[in-house]
Amino acid sequence: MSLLSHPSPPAKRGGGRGEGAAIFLVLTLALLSACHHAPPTCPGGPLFTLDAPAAPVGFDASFTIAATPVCSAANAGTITWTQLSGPRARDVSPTADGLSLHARTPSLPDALGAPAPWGVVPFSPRTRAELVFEATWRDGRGHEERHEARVAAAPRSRGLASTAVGTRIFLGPFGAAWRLESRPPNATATLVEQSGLASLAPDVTGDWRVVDGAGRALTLRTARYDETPLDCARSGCHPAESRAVAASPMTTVLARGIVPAAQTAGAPATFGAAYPDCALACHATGEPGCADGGFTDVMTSLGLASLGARAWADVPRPLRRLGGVGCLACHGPGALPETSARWAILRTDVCATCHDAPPRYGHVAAWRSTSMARADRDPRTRAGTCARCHTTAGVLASNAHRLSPPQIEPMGLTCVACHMPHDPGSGMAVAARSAVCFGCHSPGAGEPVTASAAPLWLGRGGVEPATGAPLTGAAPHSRVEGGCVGCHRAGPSDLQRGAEHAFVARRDDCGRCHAPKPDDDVRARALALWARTQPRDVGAGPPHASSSRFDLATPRGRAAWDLALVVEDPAADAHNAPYARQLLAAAEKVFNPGGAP
Amino acid sequence: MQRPARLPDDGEWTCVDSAGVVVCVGGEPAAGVVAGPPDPAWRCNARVAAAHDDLGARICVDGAPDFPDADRARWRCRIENGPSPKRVCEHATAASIWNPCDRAHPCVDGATCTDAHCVVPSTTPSCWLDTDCPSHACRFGTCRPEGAP
Repeated sequence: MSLLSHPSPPAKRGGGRGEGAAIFLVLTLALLSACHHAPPTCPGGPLFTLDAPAAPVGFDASFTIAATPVCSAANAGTITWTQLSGPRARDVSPTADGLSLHARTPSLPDALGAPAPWGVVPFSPRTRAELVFEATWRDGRGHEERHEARVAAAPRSRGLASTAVGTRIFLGPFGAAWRLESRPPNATATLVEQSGLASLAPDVTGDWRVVDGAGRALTLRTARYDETPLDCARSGCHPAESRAVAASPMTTVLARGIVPAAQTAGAPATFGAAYPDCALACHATGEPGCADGGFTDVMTSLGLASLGARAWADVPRPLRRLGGVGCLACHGPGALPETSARWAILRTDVCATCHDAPPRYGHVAAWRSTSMARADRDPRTRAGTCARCHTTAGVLASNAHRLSPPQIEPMGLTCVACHMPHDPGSGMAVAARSAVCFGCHSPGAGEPVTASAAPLWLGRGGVEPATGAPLTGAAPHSRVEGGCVGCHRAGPSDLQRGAEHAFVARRDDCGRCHAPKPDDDVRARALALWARTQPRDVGAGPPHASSSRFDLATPRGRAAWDLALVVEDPAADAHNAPYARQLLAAAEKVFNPGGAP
Repeated sequence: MQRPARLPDDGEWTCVDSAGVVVCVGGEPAAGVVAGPPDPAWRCNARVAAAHDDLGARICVDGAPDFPDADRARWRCRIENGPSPKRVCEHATAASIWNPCDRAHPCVDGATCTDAHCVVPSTTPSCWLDTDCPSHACRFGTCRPEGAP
């Protein structure tokens, strides 16, 4: 297969004049090139380019990616195609000459992999069926050149009611019978059905009110990114948040990456002199391929085909305002949504627009494998005191520094439960590492004994049953670098980035510091004692979900507290086996005064 | 039309084209943006009356804004404000500092005629509204001295 659209070998073409002669010439040049062992090149650029649809093509829709040779040197090799990421494309069919790839996107239900939620359906790179293909040119002599192209079925969506003009959204769930109740003046767009969902591509700025078949309404607030003021700090609205995000790595990601290496003075640019345009989808604001006033849309309107090599100071002002993951990249360009629609900003779907692109970006995929992602699935966990640690809104509300809209739908403990994009000084960092876990994994005095990993890990929190004095012990693992995530850092091995968000602690990792230890029976003993002393709570879920309350004024109450600390930590032996044994022994001394089991 | 209009920096601004000179008020830093360098064409300063309203804390003046061509006197421009401001210029004959001046053709209020050309004082700007100034006269971002004609 030749790159110049000649599926047949030249010998069969006769080697005469015309097309066949041209082929012969090309092959001769290729052979000369091979004799000198120099890689084939085109003057000033790549051997070939790829052309893929820039705008979303729809679900269950066919598309074509075409390779175009830049110069005749490209004829010395052939192209093979590989899908690098995304859900499996359907009907994949490279043409015989290797210059084109035909395929179909997955269906919407297949891409979502889950029921579409009510309202604006969120789409991450994974669920929007973002398919990344790599075309690899090889000449059989060890030289190769690779290019990537991506095709998507739908624009990404944060799932918010704040949406961008020119960007199609989908409304869930299937069969919700949405209708358009009102739209802005001069609007012409209307609801259509696409892939079984109601869909709308707002064409003008303003409020679009949609109502489902049950009469539940939603107002979509639409705007262009480049026409939305960035005066978030004005009049004392969000000055602290504005200051905090100024230093956020998300805010600065494009500015840091774009500076030509020669100007960095010790801080080399992430991407060197030529910024890869494919990174703009997640390093700038807006959706590439959509007329939304976002970074790439404005770049095109300014006549720039590419960002190219330029310093941040030389980037046009309108692009600087859209460069980086700014306020609008998460909150959307539209006006503040109605109160009833604001909860959606808490969902992982906001972050998933970039961090759910496995296998390269697997943060969300890893998180979805955790019990935290399902923390509020049981409706009982979303009420009362349970909500404090089982819901994202509850976690935020329990932190006096953080405000949260009331949570309406279950969403698990999402990114913002740990990451604080607005907190002064912390940016997107997880403040004080382990401290962020302690809020829910450390029972407070006078409260029911809840998840108790922190007291076990730190060797404190117990109470001497006889005296009520603090019962403390050794805390060998408190010196582990990184705290909780120093051990809870593993995840699916097929994820290139973000796997640590599965928070798995592998027993094998213990060998980094000490020899393997036999399994301890401390937890089994604790559970047996718990079953004997708290029989009414057995089988009613974790102890903290029971009605058990301990009277810390009595030796038995204090012993039960110590016992509950061990029972509440399924990994008590790994976190701190000596202290777990110490707590258990203290409890056993009360509940088994004669030493009998 | 110049879209986007040239502005003092990456912040939030409201601007007006006043007889061929552009004056802007505002300067609130754009939230979530890594600011680039200020545009050197502008003279900027704190606004004297910023504490009395929320119109803006800074004033900037571009005494020589961009025009479609070199014949600046025949263009009259305006700024269409908004998050993405535009500068729109049209042929017109209204008074401009770019008109030649003499005794029979005085300059617009606030400019002086020097060598047959209107000149805007290159003082440090400080006002947006007339009420910003003790003299109750703000011209091209500068308070006219009290008692001046």
